[in-house]
Amino acid sequence: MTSKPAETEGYLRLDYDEAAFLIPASQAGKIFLMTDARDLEAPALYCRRRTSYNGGDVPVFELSDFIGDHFHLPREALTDMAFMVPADRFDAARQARCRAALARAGLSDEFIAVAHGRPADMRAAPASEIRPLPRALAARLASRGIRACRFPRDSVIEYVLDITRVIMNHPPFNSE
Amino acid sequence: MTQKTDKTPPMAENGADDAPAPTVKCLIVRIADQHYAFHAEHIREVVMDAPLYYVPFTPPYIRGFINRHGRPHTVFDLNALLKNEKLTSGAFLIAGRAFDQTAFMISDVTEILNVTEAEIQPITAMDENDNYYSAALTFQDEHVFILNVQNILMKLSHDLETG
Repeated sequence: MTSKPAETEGYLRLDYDEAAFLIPASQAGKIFLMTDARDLEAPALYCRRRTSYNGGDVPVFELSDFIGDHFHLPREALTDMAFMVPADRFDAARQARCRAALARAGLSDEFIAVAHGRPADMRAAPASEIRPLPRALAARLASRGIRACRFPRDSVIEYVLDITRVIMNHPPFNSE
Repeated sequence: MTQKTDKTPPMAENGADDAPAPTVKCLIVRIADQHYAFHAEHIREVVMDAPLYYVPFTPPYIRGFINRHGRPHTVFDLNALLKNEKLTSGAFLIAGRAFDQTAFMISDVTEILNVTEAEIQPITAMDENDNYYSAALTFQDEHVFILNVQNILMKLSHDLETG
């Protein structure tokens, strides 16, 4: 008799020592090094740069700044390490708003580069280890892009992020 | 936890059948410099020296999560809620399953008391915190409030809706 293999999901894992962040592989595309990141003419809190990708200029979302600001973790210096989030990974309503905002800014509406300053690797996590958040906080945290968590070992927490939600909560991506 | 005290409940006044008065079990805890009581049936376990994980986007009296058996539990700092001063401690009470995945940061557990219903006093003087108390009792000549866990959870729900 063979046992059923455990259901797993792939994540891009960003390691911040005291905490880690899991981005579902379904939302995280190619990891790459930005070689020509430039300042945006109209910078926003977490979107101040653009970079060339796939024949166009794409916006850069500064995930390390967002994490540093909100998770009581050291804020990293700007980094050129990034992963791509294809715009088609946003849900339909958010995708339309996002594409419109990027078009207005003169940027490609196909991808968003997400910059992170920490070691990253792809890994699988058993679905059974991904824990829903307490009901009292689940809706609030989900609205800010925190979907679930996992405790892989003592003294470490991994937050599962909905990176599309994190991005869409901030300008210029949430601009009407 | 220092000791468990089973105070002998007073006997019925007429002494006819000598039936003991019904009692309620309460957990007396210290939070900073003040004692509070929980109904023991509302508390599942006491955890010492558990790591606390910060959680953003919550009111200041929510200090984060602790991990119990792989599940995140929301940690309330009652000193922050009631006195606006953050507590520093690694001790927590885990609330019963009826109260979601909830924990309370405490300084320590002082005693487990059996008190008669007659010894539980209604709250008469009202102030802004009274909504978080269900009643009071006397412990070592000190007036100790019994915490209303349901209303404390409702406070969080209200703050998240309006904040």
